[in-house]
Order: sequence, then structure tokens, then C-alpha cells
Amino acid sequence: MKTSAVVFSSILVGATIGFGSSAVELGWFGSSQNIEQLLSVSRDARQPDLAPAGAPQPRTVVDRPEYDFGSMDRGTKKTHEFVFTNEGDAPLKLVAGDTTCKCTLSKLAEDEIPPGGLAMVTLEWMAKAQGIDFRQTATILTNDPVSPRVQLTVTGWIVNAMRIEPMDFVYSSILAGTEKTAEVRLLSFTQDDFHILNHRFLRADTAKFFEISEQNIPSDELQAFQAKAGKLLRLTVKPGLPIGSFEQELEFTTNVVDKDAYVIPIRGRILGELSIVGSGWSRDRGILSLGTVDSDQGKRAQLAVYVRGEHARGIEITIGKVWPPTLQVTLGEHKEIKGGRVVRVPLTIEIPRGTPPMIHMGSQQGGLEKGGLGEIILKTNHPQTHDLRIRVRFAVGT
Amino acid sequence: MRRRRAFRRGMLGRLTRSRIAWTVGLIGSALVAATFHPGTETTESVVLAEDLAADGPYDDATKKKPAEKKLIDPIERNGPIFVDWPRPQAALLISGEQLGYLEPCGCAGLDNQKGGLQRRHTLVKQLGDRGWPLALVDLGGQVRRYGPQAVIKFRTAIGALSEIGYHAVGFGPQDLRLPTDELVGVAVNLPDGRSLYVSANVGLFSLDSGFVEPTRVVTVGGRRIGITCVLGAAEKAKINNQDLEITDPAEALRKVVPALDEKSDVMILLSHADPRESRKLARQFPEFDIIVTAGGADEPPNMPEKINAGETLLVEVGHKGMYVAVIGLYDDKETPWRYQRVPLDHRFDDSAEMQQMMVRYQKELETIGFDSLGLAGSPHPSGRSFVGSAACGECHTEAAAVFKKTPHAHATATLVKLDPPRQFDPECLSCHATGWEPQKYFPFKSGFRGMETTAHLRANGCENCHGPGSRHVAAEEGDTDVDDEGLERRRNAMRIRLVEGEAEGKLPDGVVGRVSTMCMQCHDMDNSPDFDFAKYWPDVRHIGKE
Repeated sequence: MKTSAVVFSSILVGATIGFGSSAVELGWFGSSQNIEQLLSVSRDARQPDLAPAGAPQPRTVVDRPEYDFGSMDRGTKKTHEFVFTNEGDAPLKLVAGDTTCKCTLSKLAEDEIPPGGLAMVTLEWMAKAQGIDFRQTATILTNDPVSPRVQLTVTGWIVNAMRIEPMDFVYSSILAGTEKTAEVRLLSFTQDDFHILNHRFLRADTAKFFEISEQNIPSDELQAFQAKAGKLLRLTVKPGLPIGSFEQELEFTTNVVDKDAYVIPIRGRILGELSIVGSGWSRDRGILSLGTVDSDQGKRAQLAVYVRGEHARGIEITIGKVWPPTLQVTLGEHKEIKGGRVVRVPLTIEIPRGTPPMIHMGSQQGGLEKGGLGEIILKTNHPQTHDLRIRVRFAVGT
Repeated sequence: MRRRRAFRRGMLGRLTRSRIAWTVGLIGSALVAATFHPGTETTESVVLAEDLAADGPYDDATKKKPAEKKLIDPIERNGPIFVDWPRPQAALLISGEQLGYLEPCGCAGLDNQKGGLQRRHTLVKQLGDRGWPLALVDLGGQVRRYGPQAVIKFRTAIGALSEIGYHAVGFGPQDLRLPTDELVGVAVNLPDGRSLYVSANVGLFSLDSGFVEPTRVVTVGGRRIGITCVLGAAEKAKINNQDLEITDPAEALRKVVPALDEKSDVMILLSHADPRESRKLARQFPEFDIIVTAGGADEPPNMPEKINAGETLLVEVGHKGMYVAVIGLYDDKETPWRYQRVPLDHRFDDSAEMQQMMVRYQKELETIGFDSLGLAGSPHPSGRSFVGSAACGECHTEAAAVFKKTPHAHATATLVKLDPPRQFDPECLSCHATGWEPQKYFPFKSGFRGMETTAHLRANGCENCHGPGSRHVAAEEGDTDVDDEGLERRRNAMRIRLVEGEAEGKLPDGVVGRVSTMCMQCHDMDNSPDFDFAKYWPDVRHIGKE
């Protein structure tokens, strides 16, 4: 073989191997300044041509590319001038790139900086984000091969006139017959003399089960929040609400003038000693929704029965009624938790593959009892709850 | 400290091979980039316009033709990623504080948004396809709200993380406000029967219940990654759940760190605490190489903060799942690690598996229904009922003509045409139908319930701003006995007025007009980040009866 052919073949093989390796390793990510350059040529018409190798180079220096605005009142604007200096030997070209969606990059005062010169780039931001802390960025595209994209960042935090921390009262579980208290802090960032003018519970039908009290938040705690004043609200849910989920709302007014009234949601759940959980189960309605099931596929629901309180450890659960009989119901092994104060019993309800078409969607259409819903009754030895009833909504089609 | 310090020391490794690959691969990458570039396409705004008739009572004769919009280029917007990265020996992919955003945050146009499990899964698959050995960890904070929909969402999120291949997931305070038995149900029903939960100081029911592991060690690329998680002391105060055992984070770490240190080459702490508390933990436990903290801003910093004289990295991942952090580990003395903040923008396609997950999620919402989601509806505080925009349009013809030209008129149909459809999702409906409380995701009793049952309340109708019209309509149509004064009183109850300077955008900084405030219930920072009342108002400007 001629030498030139060997050389050519070697180059071809090498290039192929290299290309493959690169595609595997670097892929779509964009990869290096040279990759960046290629991407820019093909993708972003705004990117200035990078200074060619071997020629005099610009050099971008930004005095503090990240700036902290500190605190900002919501709805106000702040601006900052970033100083760009060209410490290279060739003119530095600047083009405004993209910004994160919530800040504004002003038109560049200078789009070219001579060697040794400087220019200002102004970033403006209006404090209207939903959170407290913010970070916004803007990109400046340059012809500097070392820094073709310069990211400018502003940070800070937004001060509202008032903050509610946390934003709601949530009672994850209250055992029936017991009471429970939760706390919320009202923090004033503008008023030293802060007080609640009046309050009411918006859902009158259950208002009698809720009791609210307030006290001033100590100064050391206020300092931690950087607040000027504050109230600690303690809300107690008293016994008497029915088993299941509950919702209420507390409306109040204060001498902080930015809003007519504030509303704090109140949500929670009253638990009986026996409860069922799992996908598709509505504890409030006592219905397991399995939806429309393909006969060829069947469907399985994994639930669990939880037993709490003094009867948990000795609980016995058996399967009573199953309707329609095609439903397959299985109880798993008991697991004692919390030293036996809680017991978990897995419960599987399955529509087997090959089940013939049927409708149990809660209408009379199915022609079955309980308005067409399926029904499972679990028997227990609990002194108050002898039966656990599970209604099952489903339809089987082909 | 044995191999773990290789994370800091490193060895000269793959640099040469990488540079060769890099040089020859320029062409390949350019081709890939050129192929990927989406160019100019029309977006969902076209679909919106086609929907106009579907929301009837209006025809589409007057619909406004949307302007073609160029898709945002993700790399122009958010920059290239993994620049100069050779393949790492092992890599950590870190996410957290998704806060209920299973999909990209907001509905301002998918090319304008970041986040979503579909894109995250695609990233993981692409890194895996490139042979990167990955450890996947999540700080926790899957949900933001409380209630049945939050439970379904949490279950969906954990199921998705399991399917993506996560190794460990921590808890955020909002997760722990959900019923504990539901959290357990999610854990024990994962396909391989192994809980993803890891926490040194949180136990479901109790620390020894077995549903949560205090630590976990994962070996990837020959590196043993030791993982633990804590819930910060301040976060504990946000939880009111008697079915949890939560201990002091520092005390809990003192118990687990020595054993974890023995078993690990690299140690990572998922600290669900604000950055201040996380820094304190970092100083107390310098054994950790990486501490992932909660809190901070929605958008995380470009680079991690170095603490303990650069020996520990403090990583933020931001909020709403918009970003993940990837840390590559190398046998390289000069560069033992590389860091990349990855914006989950539309450079990543949706994964089919996660798309199916979203279909299942929406199907479950449909199957379970509003009542079982605890959304039976509350009476409107005014005592009035919603009548639908068609009733308004019978007299207010000119205002109705303006309304017909806006996307508000087909807001509900937009949800129906999405894939999967969202008309059963309360979080979407609250701004895409009439008679819901936008920021509470809660319906009024007389508000929209379904496409057929309350067809007159499709669209984001007049009454969402003006209030329910039942009394006003009844009075105007002579269905109730009112005198002139009563008639006028009912008209006045429906009126809302701009404040001086509001329409022109000339209000002082910090002052938001009354009408603008109403708009911003839906045009919020997630769903309409560029909302500017003065710019939008000319398109919707109307006066009761002209």
C-alpha cells in the first residue's frame, strides 16, 4: 500500500473514531469554547464572532458579576450597573443576550470597548416574584474566546408588609374525641405597632369547633425573621367534628394597610381508630374508585387498614361480604408500629383478568344493590367498629 | 480519609483521551446541535384560537388571529451545559423542592418554562446512554399543598422517582404534613417493595418502624456514595402530625455519621433546612463532602458555595423542579469534581414513561372526582350564584364582543385539547373555568363542575372578575321585585373600576391597581411572568354598556 493511502486511511479512521467518541461523550450538550463557537454560529445570530486564534485578543473582566440588592419592597424596582473592562489587546464586543423571565437588561450603552476601556451594563428588576428570596440573571455575549457568555446575577429578598408563617393551619391527623392545637405566626415588616383588629371563621357551620388565641412574638424570634412585630396565633380544634377531612378559613384584619383582609386556610383530618388508606380510596365518601378497567388487563388496588389506640394490638380483621363475587379481596399480615399502638394490615382488592363486562359506577344502571356500586365489608373485633364498609366504583369493558 | 478523599485529591485520569475526543468531536457536536435546533414554529397559541368555538356560547367569527411566535432557543436562553466535561467516573444528579410541579412550572408556553419530570427523566436517560454512572438523590419537598390532590400528587411523584431510578429521597415539611399512613402506603407499594425514603431524624410513626432508612450507600462507577438526609429544626415547627417521630438533626447525625463515613468514599447530606441551618450543619459535620440545602431562591446559583475551606460544597437546587444539579466525580488531582446546574428546558424532550405517568395522574383525578377531592364547593361570600357569560352578553353586547376575541373565551377548551386533558384537574380549572377561587384551587358551589353539567360556565368568564351575576340578572329580567334604587345597587355590585393611572401603567412603584390585582390572581408569576396590565388592557378593554 502506498504511504499516502496509509496516511489518508489513518486520518479517516481516526476522524471516525474521534467523531463517534465525541458524539457519545459530548452529545447534544454543547461542549467547549470551540463547540460553543460552532453552536453560536449555527444557533445564535447575536453572538459576535470570536477573535481568531493568533490575533490580538480582547479580555473580559467584570467587577462582581453577582450583585445583592438586599431587601426590596414588593412591587418596587432596583437597578445595578455592572462594570465591564477590556483588559485585552483587541476591541471587546458586547451584545445583550437573554435574561431570566423576570428581569430587564437595558440597551447596552456601549457595544464595543476598546483595549483598556470600560462600559456599564445595567440590569433592572421589579420585585414581583412569589417567593421571598430571588435570584435573576442576564447573559452578555462577547467576542472574547475565553468568556463568550458572561452571566450577570442579581439577588436579594422581597419584603411584604406582612407574612404568614406557615401559610395555613394543617392538622395531619386528630384522633376522634381529642383536641389539637397548631400555630401560625403573623409577621409585620412595616409596623412596629402591629395588632389584629378583628377575626371570624368563614364557615359558620363548624366555627364552634375552633378556638383562637394570640400572643406577641418575643423580640429574639422577631429578629430571626427580620420582622418588626408579630403575633403568634394558636388555633385549637375541639372535639366534635365528624370523622373525615375538614376545612375552615380564618379571616382577619390588621392595622397593616396593604390588604383589606387576610384569610388563612385551616385543613385537617379527624381519624377514627380504624381507617383505610390507598390509591383511589376516598375516606370521606367511603368509596374506592377503580374507574374503567380493561377485562384483558384487570386491575389491582393496594390499600391498608390502620388501627390506632388501645385496641390496635389485639385487632382481628376478616373478610365479610364481597359484592360482586368477582372481586378478589386479600388481607395481608399485621404489622405492629409504634410499639403496637398502631397496626397496619395490607388489603388488596383486585378485579381479575378476564372478568366479564359489568358496570358498578354508582347509578341504577348496573341493576345491583347500593345503586350499582360494588361493596366489601370487613369484619373486626373492635368494640365500637364491627364493620368496615368499602364501596367500589368500577366498570369492566373489553 | 481513605478513598473518599479521592473526591478532593483526585488523580490524573482521562484528560488526554477526552481532549482527543473533544477535538475530533467538534464536528459531531455541531451536527447534533444543528439537528436539534427547532427553528421557527407556531406554538399552542394556534391551538388556543382553534378552541374558541368549542367553549360556546360564542361563535368564532370574531376570533383574534394569533401572531406566529418563534420558539425560544433553550441554549440561547439558558446556555450550554457540561462544557468541557469528560465522562465522569461517577456522577450525582441532585433534585429537590419540586413543590407540586410535576410538569414545567406555569402555563406560559412550554418553551418559556423549565422543569417537569418528563424532561428530568430524559436527562437521566441521556446521561445513562452516554455511560455516566449515576447516583440519583432528591432532597424531598414533592408537594406544596395539603389535601387529597396533594396525596395523589405525592404518590405520583414518588412513583415517578422510583421509575426514573432514584436511589434516595428525603422529606420536606409539606410532605410530612400529609397523612402518615398515606406516606407509608406510597413507600410499601413501590414496584420492588423497597422504600426510597432516607432520613436520619424522621420516622413514619416511629424511627424504628422500618419505612425509612437512616442512611443508604450506593456504589456507582466504583465510588461508594454515602447518603443521609435530615429535616431542619426550624422546618419541624411547620408540621403538626402526631404520627411522626422527628428528632434534632444534629443529634441524629451524630449517631449515623461515623458508620456512614466508614462505608463511604463520598458523603452527601440532603439537608431540608434553610441555607443558614445547613451551613451550620456543614461546619458541625465536616465529614460530608456535599451538603444539599433547601431554601434560597427559585433559581439556584451557578456554582455551589464552598465551605469548610473549600472541603465541603453547599448545593442549592432551587424550587419547582426547574433545575437539577449534576456533580461529576473524577480521578483527577487538579479537577476532582465538576459542577453543572442543568436547566430543564425544552432541549429535553418529554420521556414517554413520564408522559404516561401524567396520563395516569390526570385519570386518577377524573376517576376520583371533585367530591372525593374535598371540592364540594363553598357558597360565594356575596350570596349570589354564577350565571355564565352568555347571560351577561345578552345585554352587554360590546363587552361580550371584546371577550370573544380573547383567550379567556376558550380557556376551558384549551384544557380539553391538552395531552393529557386537564379539565378534571382543580389546579388548572381554577383559572380555566368560571366560578373557582384562582389561588385556592377551590370551586364555589355554583361554579363550574363539568363540561356538560355546567356548560354555561366554561371559559374564564365575566363573573370571575365581576362576581356572580344571579341577582343582577334576575333584577334586570324582572324575575325579582326591586325598585330603581335596588336595581342600581345590584348593578353597582357588579362594577369594578380602574384606579387613576392604572390603565396607563402610571401607578407609583409598589402600588397595584384594583383591576390588576384581580387579573394577577391568574396572571401570576408562574403562569404569566411577563404580565403587564398596561400592555394587556387594550386587548380586553371594555365598559359595561357603551
